[in-house]
Amino acid sequence: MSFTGFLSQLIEIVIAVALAPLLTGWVNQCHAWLQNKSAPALWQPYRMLHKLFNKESVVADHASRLFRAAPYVMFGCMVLACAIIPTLSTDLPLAPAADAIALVGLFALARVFISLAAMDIGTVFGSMGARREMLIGFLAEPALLMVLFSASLISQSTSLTTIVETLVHRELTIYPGLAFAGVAFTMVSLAENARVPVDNPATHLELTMIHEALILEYSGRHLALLEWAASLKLFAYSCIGLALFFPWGVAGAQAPVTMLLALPALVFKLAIGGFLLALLETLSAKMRIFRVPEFLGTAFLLAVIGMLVELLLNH
Amino acid sequence: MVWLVLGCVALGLLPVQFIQLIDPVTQQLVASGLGAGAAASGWLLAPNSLAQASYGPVIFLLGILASFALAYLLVRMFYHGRLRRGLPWACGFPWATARMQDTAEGFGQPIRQIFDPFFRMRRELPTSLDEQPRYRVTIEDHFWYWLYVPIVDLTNYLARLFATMQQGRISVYLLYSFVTLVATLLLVMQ
Repeated sequence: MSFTGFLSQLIEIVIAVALAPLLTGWVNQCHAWLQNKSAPALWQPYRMLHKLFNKESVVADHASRLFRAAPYVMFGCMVLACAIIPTLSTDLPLAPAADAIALVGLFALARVFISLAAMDIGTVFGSMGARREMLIGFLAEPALLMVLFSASLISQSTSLTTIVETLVHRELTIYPGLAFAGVAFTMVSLAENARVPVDNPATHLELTMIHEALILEYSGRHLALLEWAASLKLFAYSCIGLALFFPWGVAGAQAPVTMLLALPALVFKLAIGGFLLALLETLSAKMRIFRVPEFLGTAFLLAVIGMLVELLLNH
Repeated sequence: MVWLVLGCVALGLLPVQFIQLIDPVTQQLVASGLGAGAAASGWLLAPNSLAQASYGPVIFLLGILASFALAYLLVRMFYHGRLRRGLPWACGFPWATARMQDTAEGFGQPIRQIFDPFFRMRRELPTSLDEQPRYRVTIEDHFWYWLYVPIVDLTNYLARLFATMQQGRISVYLLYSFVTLVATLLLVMQ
């Protein structure tokens, strides 16, 4: 492990943990503007986290250790995911530990833990949330894998750093397969991050909530960690999207100095992505839970079409 | 049970060593294996090359454990560890009874609903007025009816036919033998 590799890995983790709530704040701000509301400050999520960390944590009498450990596991998984995804540099010592397939597994691990913790208390809402989360997970994961596969067909590798290096260093070519995969990825990330057509992060209405139902029994520092983890997940998904479809600006292993330029590029790309996310959410309405399979089935189909197009045109 | 779980965990953490262990079997069966390639990359499982695909379960686990521990320590360091035990909130609904208990059904039901066209499903749904509510669902697949049931029917029909042939008198069997003999002779003469 080289010193620059270690440094870029460390910087990347710190940037991810620090910037993730800012991205959530930016999305919320754009959301409010688009709905003609006066927007909360950009650092509202940080204030929220600070408030929650200061509060006392109330835990149900019969809650097990799993319930208390789950927020830390969730947070840990998301930090590791952010460490693996090449956001600023492709020179990451941790990246060989997990390629794209293992990354999907990492998200699945977090999902299993949070669902188990939601069922741990035994309340109706927790298990309802767990069921819905599992339903969405089992539909979204194959679609996500297909998206990653169609991107990996270009570089003949499932390693994210290799995919990004291949895409960055080639001259600008238009990959029609990636366009399909991009649409599919957007749909999957909306579902995975509990955003509007699938779930509404702002609601506490029992008929519609999924992610909020899972974390309903949490309070204080545990809730803060879960909120932070949710922000990190959004950040991670945005960065996967940027790495696969707009990888320009990411520093290569040979040029660690370009990391200085990579950060403003990342912030710029995330700002645009966050605005587009808010726009998409404002324009669409929450769908019924049994319409979600159709939505994610379409995503899966698009990803498969993307892969087929890639195979047809490049082989 | 615990041993099986531990076995699974060990298998997940040490895939490289396990692949080397079962490599002779794959060598004998298909005359090629991953053993040598897997051994070359040490703790990382990289079937072809590190740039193509890799997975390091131990680093993975250590990464999660390290961020878990770091998060725990930092939260304790900068904030407090106060915790209060109380009744579960459950959206302010305290009258939960054993009848409302959740089962695994809730996880399977949506999946069955989605793949409804692939199954032949019969549901017995209770009404809210039932004294002893009973929910039952039986699932069969279409293939059983499309593929296997016709074969079973044909076999049964043939079996019945042979059974009737077997339930004759000695004179009938002699007649069968005689007819067979004549038919064979005619065939040989030609």
